[in-house]
Amino acid sequence: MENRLRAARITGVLIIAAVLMVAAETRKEYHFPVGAKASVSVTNPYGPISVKPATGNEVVVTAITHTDKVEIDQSQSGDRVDILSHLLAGADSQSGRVDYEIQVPSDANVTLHSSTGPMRAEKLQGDVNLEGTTAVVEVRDLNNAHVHVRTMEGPVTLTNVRDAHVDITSVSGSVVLTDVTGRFVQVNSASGAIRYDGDFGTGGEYLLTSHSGDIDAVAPGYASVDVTARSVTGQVENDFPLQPKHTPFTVKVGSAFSGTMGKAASSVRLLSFSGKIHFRKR
Amino acid sequence: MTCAEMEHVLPEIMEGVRTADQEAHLQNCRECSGILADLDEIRQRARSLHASEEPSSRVWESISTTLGEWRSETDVIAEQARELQASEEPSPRVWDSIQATLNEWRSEMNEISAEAGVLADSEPSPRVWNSLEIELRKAGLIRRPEPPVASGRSSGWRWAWLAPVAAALLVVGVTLSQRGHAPQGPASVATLPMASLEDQKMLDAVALRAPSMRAVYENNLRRVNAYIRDAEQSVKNDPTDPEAQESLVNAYEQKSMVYEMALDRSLP
Repeated sequence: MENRLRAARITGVLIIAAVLMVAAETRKEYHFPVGAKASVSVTNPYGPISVKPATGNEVVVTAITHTDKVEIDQSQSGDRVDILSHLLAGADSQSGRVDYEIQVPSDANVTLHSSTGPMRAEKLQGDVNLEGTTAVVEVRDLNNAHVHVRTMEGPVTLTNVRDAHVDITSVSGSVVLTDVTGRFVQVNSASGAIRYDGDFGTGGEYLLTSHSGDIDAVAPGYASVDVTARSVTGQVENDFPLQPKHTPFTVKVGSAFSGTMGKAASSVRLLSFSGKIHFRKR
Repeated sequence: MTCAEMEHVLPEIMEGVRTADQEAHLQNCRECSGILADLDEIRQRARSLHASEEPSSRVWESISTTLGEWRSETDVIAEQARELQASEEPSPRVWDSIQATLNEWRSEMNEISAEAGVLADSEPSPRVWNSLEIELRKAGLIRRPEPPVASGRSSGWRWAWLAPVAAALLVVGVTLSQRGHAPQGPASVATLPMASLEDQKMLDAVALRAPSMRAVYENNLRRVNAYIRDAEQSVKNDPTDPEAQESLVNAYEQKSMVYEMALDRSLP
């Protein structure tokens, strides 16, 4: 009986706490009419930012604050829109959190900064710049875009990004690229693992480098690539029958390989210092 | 402000933080400003070391011994300053003694400076920088900032029960949201190269803004420093290898990114 009373009391307390937390939420919506190729910048130290395409020539920002320790500063100058979560004294990662949902014209250039994230961008055709410390980064369904991502340890996922210029730098976060193609695709990691799953398109340059993280490149048998893989102290494995080619370095079995497949339409370089590299057949 | 008080705050002043009082004292006191100039010179020399062999243990022992002696000297000065404070009219003997001690101290500084000059022909490895940093910390020349003072008790004590409950909810929420997103990388980050003096300054700056982020930055700096170290070694092994050069550029880009993030005041 006593236990049941205790459980009921705890449940009551949790419900009250949850109600108080919800009650403190404030939802604000801002509308900014813009022209073609507008620039939208959002800086949100704590909390998620999600960007999706809008139906018209308008930027719509929905911001949810949870306390009065943070304010939304917004400004528009021509086709440039700036949004900033302004932390007030005493704000921390909980009280300073703001949840953003942003809609932009699909050709807009978007720049997002968030320490904790997560940050998501989808179905856009403009340039996308994302920067975060521990923030999870997810980008999907982009066409003809320039995707620039910088994180310290937040994991990065790019899915279905076509004809793009991709430049990702992460110190220790993992990077996963699925169906990503473009003229230039670069991933630079210190200790995070890198995984690429796709056909490397045609005419592109792909450079995946990691200091100590593993690199896993998965491609179909029809992929057309000129591939070089080297790991200074780690292992290198290759599932494909490659045509040998000349290399400027000495190829040591098990730590490097180089060769071509098909018409060698794209250049692929996989470099690591101590990580394991596997060029895997899908 | 007195010379004795100045002695106690020298480490902070070395870090570049000065109050108006301290600035005024330095303007008017040749002894203190001279000491500060000597210390700055040592730091400058230490930073400008570029070469290829680790200095002998003799040099380190010498620096360590000199720093230890210098510490003793400062203790003597502090003691004499306390005596001075206690007496209404200090005798000329006390003044002479302080003057003599300060002169000795300056001479010690010159010796350290000369030792640092010896290092100019050698190349410090990250381990060397680390050792230097440890010695400087032991000597009290560099310090971490004091932790912020906790704020007073909230008047809303009746709602104090909300805090643990909310905290529990948040912990559960954060744990659930972070599950599956654990950062990659070796568990033994602590074994990676220590941060340099410059890195330490940057970490201190991060800690001032967001104390919880210091560990994140430090761990990642260690990873980047390990990357730079190995990439440099690869280039040294084969200076004509374009991929080794590319790795080195990438490693430095990473370091540059970490510094830019740390200096970005819009983010914690």
